[in-house]
Amino acid sequence: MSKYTDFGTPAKTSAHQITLEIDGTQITVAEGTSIMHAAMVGGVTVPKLCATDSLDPYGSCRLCLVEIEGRRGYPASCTTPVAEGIKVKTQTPKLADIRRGVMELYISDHPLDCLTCATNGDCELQDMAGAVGLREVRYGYDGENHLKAEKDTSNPYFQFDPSKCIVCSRCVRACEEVQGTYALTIQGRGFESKVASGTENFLESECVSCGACVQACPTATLIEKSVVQHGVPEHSVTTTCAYCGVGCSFDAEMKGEQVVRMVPSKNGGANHGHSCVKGRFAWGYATHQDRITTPMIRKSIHDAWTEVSWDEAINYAASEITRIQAKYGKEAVGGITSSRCTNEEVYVTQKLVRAVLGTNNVDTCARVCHSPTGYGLKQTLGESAGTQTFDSVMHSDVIFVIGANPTDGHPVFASQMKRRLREGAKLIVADPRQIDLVSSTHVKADYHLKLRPGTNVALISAMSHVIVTEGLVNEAFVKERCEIDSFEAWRDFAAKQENSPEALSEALGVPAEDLRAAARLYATGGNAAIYYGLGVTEHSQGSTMVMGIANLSMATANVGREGVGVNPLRGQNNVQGSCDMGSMPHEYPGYRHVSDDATHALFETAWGRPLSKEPGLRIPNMLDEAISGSFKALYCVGEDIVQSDPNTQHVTHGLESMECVIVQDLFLNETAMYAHVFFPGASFLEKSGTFTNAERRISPVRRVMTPKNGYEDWEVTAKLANALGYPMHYSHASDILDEIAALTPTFKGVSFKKLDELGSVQWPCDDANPSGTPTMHIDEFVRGKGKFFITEYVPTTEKVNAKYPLILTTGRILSQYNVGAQTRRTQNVTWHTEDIIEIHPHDAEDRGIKDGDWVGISSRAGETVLHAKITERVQPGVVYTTFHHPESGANVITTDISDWATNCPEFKVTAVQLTKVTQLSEWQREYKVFSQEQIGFVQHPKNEVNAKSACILMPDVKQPLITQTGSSRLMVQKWQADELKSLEDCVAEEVPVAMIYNGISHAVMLATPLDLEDFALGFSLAEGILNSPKELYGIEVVQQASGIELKMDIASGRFSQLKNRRRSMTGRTGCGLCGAESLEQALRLPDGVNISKDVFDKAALLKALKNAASQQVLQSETGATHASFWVNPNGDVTMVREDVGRHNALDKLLGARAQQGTEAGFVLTTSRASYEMVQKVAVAGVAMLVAISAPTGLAVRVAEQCGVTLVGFARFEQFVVYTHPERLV
Amino acid sequence: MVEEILVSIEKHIQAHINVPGALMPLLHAIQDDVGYVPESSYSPIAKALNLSVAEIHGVVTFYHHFRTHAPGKHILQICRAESCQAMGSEALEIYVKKTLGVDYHQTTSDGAITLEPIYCLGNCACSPAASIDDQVCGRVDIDRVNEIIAEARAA
Amino acid sequence: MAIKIYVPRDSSALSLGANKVAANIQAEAVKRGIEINLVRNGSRGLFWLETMVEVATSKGRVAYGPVMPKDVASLFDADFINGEAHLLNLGLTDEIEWLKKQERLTFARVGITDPVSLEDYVAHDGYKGLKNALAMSGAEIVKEVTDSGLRGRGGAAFPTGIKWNTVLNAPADQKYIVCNADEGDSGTYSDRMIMEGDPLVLVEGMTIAGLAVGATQGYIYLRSEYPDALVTLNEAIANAYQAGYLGDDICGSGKQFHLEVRRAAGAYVCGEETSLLESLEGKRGLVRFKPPLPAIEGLFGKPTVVNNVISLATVPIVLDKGGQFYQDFGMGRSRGTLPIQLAGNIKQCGLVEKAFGVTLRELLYDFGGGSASGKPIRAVQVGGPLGAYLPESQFDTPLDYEKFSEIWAVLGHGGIVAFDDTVDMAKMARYAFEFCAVESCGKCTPCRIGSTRGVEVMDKIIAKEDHAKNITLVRDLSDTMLNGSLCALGGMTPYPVLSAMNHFPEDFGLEKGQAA
Repeated sequence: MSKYTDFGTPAKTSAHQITLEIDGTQITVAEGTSIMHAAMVGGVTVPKLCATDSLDPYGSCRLCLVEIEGRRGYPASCTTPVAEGIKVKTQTPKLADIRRGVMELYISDHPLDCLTCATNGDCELQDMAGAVGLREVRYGYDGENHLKAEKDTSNPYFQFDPSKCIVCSRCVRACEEVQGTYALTIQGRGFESKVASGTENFLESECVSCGACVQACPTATLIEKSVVQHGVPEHSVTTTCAYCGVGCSFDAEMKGEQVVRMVPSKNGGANHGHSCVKGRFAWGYATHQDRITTPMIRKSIHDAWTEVSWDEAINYAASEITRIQAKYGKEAVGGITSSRCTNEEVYVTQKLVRAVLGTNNVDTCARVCHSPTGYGLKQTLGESAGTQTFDSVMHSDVIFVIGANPTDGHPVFASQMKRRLREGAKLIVADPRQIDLVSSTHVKADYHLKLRPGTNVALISAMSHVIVTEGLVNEAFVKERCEIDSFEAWRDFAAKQENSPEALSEALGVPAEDLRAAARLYATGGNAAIYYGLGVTEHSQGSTMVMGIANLSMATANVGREGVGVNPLRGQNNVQGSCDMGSMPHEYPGYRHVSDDATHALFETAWGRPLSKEPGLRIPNMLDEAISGSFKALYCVGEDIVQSDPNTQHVTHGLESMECVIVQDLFLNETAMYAHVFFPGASFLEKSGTFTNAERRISPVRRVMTPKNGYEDWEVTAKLANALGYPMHYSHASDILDEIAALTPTFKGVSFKKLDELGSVQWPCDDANPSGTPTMHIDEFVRGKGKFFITEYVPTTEKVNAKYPLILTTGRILSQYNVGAQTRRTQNVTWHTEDIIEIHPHDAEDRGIKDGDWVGISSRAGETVLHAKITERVQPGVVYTTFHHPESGANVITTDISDWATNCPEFKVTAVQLTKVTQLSEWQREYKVFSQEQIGFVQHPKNEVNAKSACILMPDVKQPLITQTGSSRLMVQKWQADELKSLEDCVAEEVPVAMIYNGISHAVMLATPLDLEDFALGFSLAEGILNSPKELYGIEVVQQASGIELKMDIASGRFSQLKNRRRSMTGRTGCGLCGAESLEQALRLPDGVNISKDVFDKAALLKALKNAASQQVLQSETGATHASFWVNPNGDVTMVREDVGRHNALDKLLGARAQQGTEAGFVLTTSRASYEMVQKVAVAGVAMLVAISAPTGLAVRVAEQCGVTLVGFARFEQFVVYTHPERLV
Repeated sequence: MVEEILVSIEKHIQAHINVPGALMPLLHAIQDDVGYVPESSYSPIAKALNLSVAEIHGVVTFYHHFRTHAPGKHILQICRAESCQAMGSEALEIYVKKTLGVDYHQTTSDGAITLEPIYCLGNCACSPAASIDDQVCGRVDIDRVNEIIAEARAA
Repeated sequence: MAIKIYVPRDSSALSLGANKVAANIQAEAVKRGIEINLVRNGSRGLFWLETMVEVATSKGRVAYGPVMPKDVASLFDADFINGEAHLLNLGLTDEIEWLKKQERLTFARVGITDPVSLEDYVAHDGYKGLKNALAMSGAEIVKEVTDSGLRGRGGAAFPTGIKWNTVLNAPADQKYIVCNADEGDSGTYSDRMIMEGDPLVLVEGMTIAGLAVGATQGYIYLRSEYPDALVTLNEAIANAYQAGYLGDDICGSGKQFHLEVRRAAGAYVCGEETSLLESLEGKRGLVRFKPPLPAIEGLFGKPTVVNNVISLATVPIVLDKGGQFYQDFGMGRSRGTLPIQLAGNIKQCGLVEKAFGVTLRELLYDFGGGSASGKPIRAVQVGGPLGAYLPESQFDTPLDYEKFSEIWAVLGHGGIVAFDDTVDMAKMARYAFEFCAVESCGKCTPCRIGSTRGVEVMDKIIAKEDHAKNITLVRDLSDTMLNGSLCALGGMTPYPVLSAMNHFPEDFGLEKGQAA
């Protein structure tokens, strides 16, 4: 296990060193250091509970008290700073007394369950009790305590057990100081102090599940559910998170091959021990049942897949590539890598394409996100990367966020940024939407420039104008560091009246005075740093804007030192690395052009193959060429272009036009549905390599478990190369990294050995910078002199008009990641189950759209349908959505328009119209059918119902169940032998089950939640909805709040038949629920019923039981009917109704009773008691229902809630009381 | 009624939005006006003051003065501090609890009086002390407290 | 000319019916066609005589008391408006022995003037200190205060001048003066009397403090239990703004000082200066650890003077008459005067401002006249709920910070609560824990859990359960709280507990001499 020294309080830096004596040892530390920290530096451990070095000192636990010679009392060592020459004692008899006294108090309000506690052996309270030598608790345990406090298990990943809480506030402080969310507080005061969120529970609170509180908790109070389940881990491996571009370092804490938890590493250069809900908790996808672990091939995408051996799959792929190249030429093939791949995987893939296939047709998904960053920064500053470390933000005085949403997209860095903002840094946000940074807890932007999407360049021009014309240029810096000609040209351009804030204000939709004030603040507010995201790059002028940002930073000298700079926030884990590794069609690793003679020669020599000097095809070009017939095969590693690239129809058309699509991935992703060869991929936990984050930090990815698919991804690529006749014999990813280092000057000093030593390293890492380069361009720019570029604002051609009057812009949400392939397969769906469209109230009002309505979004490219959310976060005229769910089809509507320089798509601007609709779009409906068909093509274990346990204790009335046995347990009272006894009973369950065909809810049944797939198929066949089982492509059993949905995907032909049938209302199925079509209609709990207050004698009940049978006339003749009886309080049967249907018999009885008066009494029925029967009785105000047979679970819950006494198994001399026994006397 | 409360809360929020350390004066303003601090006000307050709901919950529950539910029509406080104890407040407490049929922090069944303990009203020279709503009463004996209760019930 | 009649607006007077008395006087005067000028003054501090009505006569102010509303007619009948004899006639106010024996410096105007009248304030030497201060540098003002020997009257007795000096020398763009008016100690009410009886002296003191250290904003953190003081303070502040004594240009000096009252919300611990600051910032009133001192990082992280009401209200006289004048009063290191408040079981409860050095016995018997019940005074608690209980044998201790410290007692805020011989000191010890449990902020463990355990252990002692073991335990617990607590609330709760045990062992089921 990685063990980190906890110094108790944060390290301090100071020019001034202080020497003091602790327990006789001289220790020298920086001024401002706490005595506790100094002691730890000197190897002296002071007992502590509330102190931990990720948090500011607090001074509450009073265990760390020390004695200081010449000072009164016993100061806390965590809150007392060192002073020159003081003599400190940490262990004296008096201190021992005080500490034991404090610990005795703690334990007097703590459960004594160490042996069965989930953190036994990993608990600071336990450690401290030992350390202070606590032997007894003289207060006893009969005083006030919190031992019965209720557990909160609402969060899917961790639980809160207040009975174990010592109120050290570490969780509250972590939420505040580390995460900056302030979701926790202490409620009440004194002995009543309790950690709380001010809401119902953790899940309902403002908590973002970053895990900082769990991390900070010294006891088992806040603990990962996975630890509760698996126990304390026994070994750990440090690796790098596979989510966003922050690149957090994690310790995978393991038990054998089982990940117990992922813990943010304190030594992580990017995260310093912090994490977010994705990295910390959402790793379950790695072992999700959807993973495909066996290679598969097929001839056509309309065929089912065949599982094959690795060799067979590799050889088949190689032969296809060879065939296609032979037939259509070398350039007919290409490769695409993902920013989710390791550097090593990207490197070997582009090497395969260039050296083995002999073409430069290799591209990466950075094409669709940050390609303008690479281009723009290379042109201006000379290097295609951000200029700073994340830590640099702690030195910023002005933070300018443009087109980025760090709290959702880069949460761990956002926490650091928010910390700096709380310290007083100023904030400018340029974003069409009110992102959280604009105004949230303890953060408020000084300026929110709420620009219209697509007008970034106008914004930067207007700000440049202010800087140039108001004398805010740092002339000295420009003169020394930049190309003067380019500066002067830019200056003259910026100074033009047409670039003034006043002139551009209208186009931007931002007041001119705000633009001026923001520009002045940026130029004169001290260290000013720009952080930007895809809101800058994903535009037709993405590259222009990147250059404009660089211009601004150079003109104001805000580049080349800590606290300033140009900082692209990279979306995915390895955007930077995948670009660095030469996965662009025009560049070798290290951003060297393929036409450059020296580079070309270098790689030809190293790789031993002739290489093309012609830049290859970019992703959109590959697709264009595929459609036009000249591009025929694609090797796509870890990337899902169907979901993530714009104009989905165009992408799928391109793929459909290819003869061999090879997809390598964990899951059958959207692109794999168009593939012919599927290579199963390995998760980040199963492989070695490196990721490079947004601050150029290369961090090691270490294998913590055996690949479930058999191979690490680079091995698969190497195998393919070998099969194609090019030997690639790496024994480990480190061999590949060594090759990268040997061929790439900026990586010269990088090796696994160095990463093991330093943890991570920021490139350039070479002889001059052996430990890497945190800040770039310090004395001069990489390109020598910085170059200014003229950034003329050219409005996008994607314009709004009468037909498409709104602008759609897209973004991310915290809990989901990119295409969602990973996060959708974790409990993160708790927070974001679907993509929704945000609409301003005005625009919604105009269109009659209400919150939650289905809304059709149509653009020039296509149409999709999403649920609406009305919110003022978006401005009028702008709508917003995310693209985490494939069925949302967000990219069905985005267009082909792209950045002029790099083809990066203009995801952020699409002219659309919104209309209220009632069903999914045609694309979505087709997609559902197609994707289900594709899923059906995989020989995959049948989707099994998630059964938690065989029997579940009685839940809330509204909570339906999926059980394995179809039953649930409850406590009942049984009358037998003149005695009432409490015992546990098991009742059959009955749950509303909706039959949903291709998204349309057709009928609802009340059914026992067992064998639901059989039910679905049987029903569908019996009702003639399907003709053959083959027409059912898949069933998903989904538990909803109000019942269970059986979501079936059926053949499109059958579906259209069903729709026709529904339209004409013929053949509508009769179900037990009077034709309810949806779950919402199904469970109608009686509302405001007025149940009589009658009480009944047990004797009356027994008497009625004896006499009832004789009154069933029809039954005695036929033996085929049910009966319902009205029994008066004396036990006399005063009315009988019979019917073949038990419900009918009851309805008849209640009808008769309604006519004939309201004699007191209760209902006895010969049948079992279902939910509807209880409901009928309750509506009639009847106090008791006695059934000869069993009630269902739902019937019991409804009776309980309505106040009806429900009796079952009423036979001979016995009966069972299920609810409200108080009525039976 | 609920609508009115929300409107007046919003009015107080707006009035305090630029006040340094606004939370305490704002909570006072709301309680003075509405009679208590409804939990439904947490969210709008949090939004306006750039605080979290948890923080507001923490603050409201820290201070004994703030309450989250409507009290009785009148609040009777009996001082429990030493000076009043020295002058027999304990007997007074027992009497009042018995007379009203409630314990501390409870409201009489007719909703007229909420009984609260208090620790010093600064009226120690005239112990024992009590207060009804914001009015301090000195040298309170059984007769005086009966008077106070009767007046409160009549008002 | 209208006859000036004084009826206090002090809330203790109000608690005894002063408003009704005032209304009856007004009504009676109208009825009788007598033109009167009814002034609502502060209380003179003779609370056994409240409502004490004064009439300005040619001989001086004549006092009547205690006046009940029903007495008003008879007063008129007796021609009290001319100071004539009546059963309630107390003679000339200035000649009342109880007042004559005092040295009223801080309370010089209380009960004499109309609290919110600037005219009255200035006519009675108000704002003389400020006038002087405006002509001085900050350092000079601080020196004057330092020279006076004034120590914090809130209880901690830290030299005010030294605190100010720290703030003066702390560079910052903004500094604050915070007045701690969260007077929560049982038995104390002098802050309230100042705020209700002479609020402008506090306003003046805070203004001077602002000038001294370079602070432009002041806050009075007033406990919510003092609604009357809130009204009076706000009236006085509004009047001071109106007259140019507060605002952007104090008396035309170009210097600014702004002042605002903020209400507390029922948390005793917020009388502790750091939790007070947390509360002012809008947070839970948790105690902060020190350092950093509030003087360096105080309100909103800025250098802040936090002083008690009496300390600040004493500053004007120091600046008016000079540090030396003030320092001439008192004994030892306790200089000047202390407003002492007599409370509890005392016949004559009230405010006594005396130079340090007066003994407890003098106060209890000479001023207080012994117990109200007539029974022997058995114990007195000095300095609020965290102060020690003193037995009769210690009644000769002079009021002096150091002398009290020597007998393991505290002077605190000068409140004295007396108990007669019916008191059960074990119950009082239990109450000390109980009070701590009710008021603990919950931050540090000894106070958070210890106070509740203390109540439980005391219950066991009272019930004679495992007596010896629990006696040891309560002493160990006291030791843990005393040495381990973060602030004085938990740290001083053992004072009343242990002093009660040590001085009154018999109440704990212990033999005399078994105590220590």
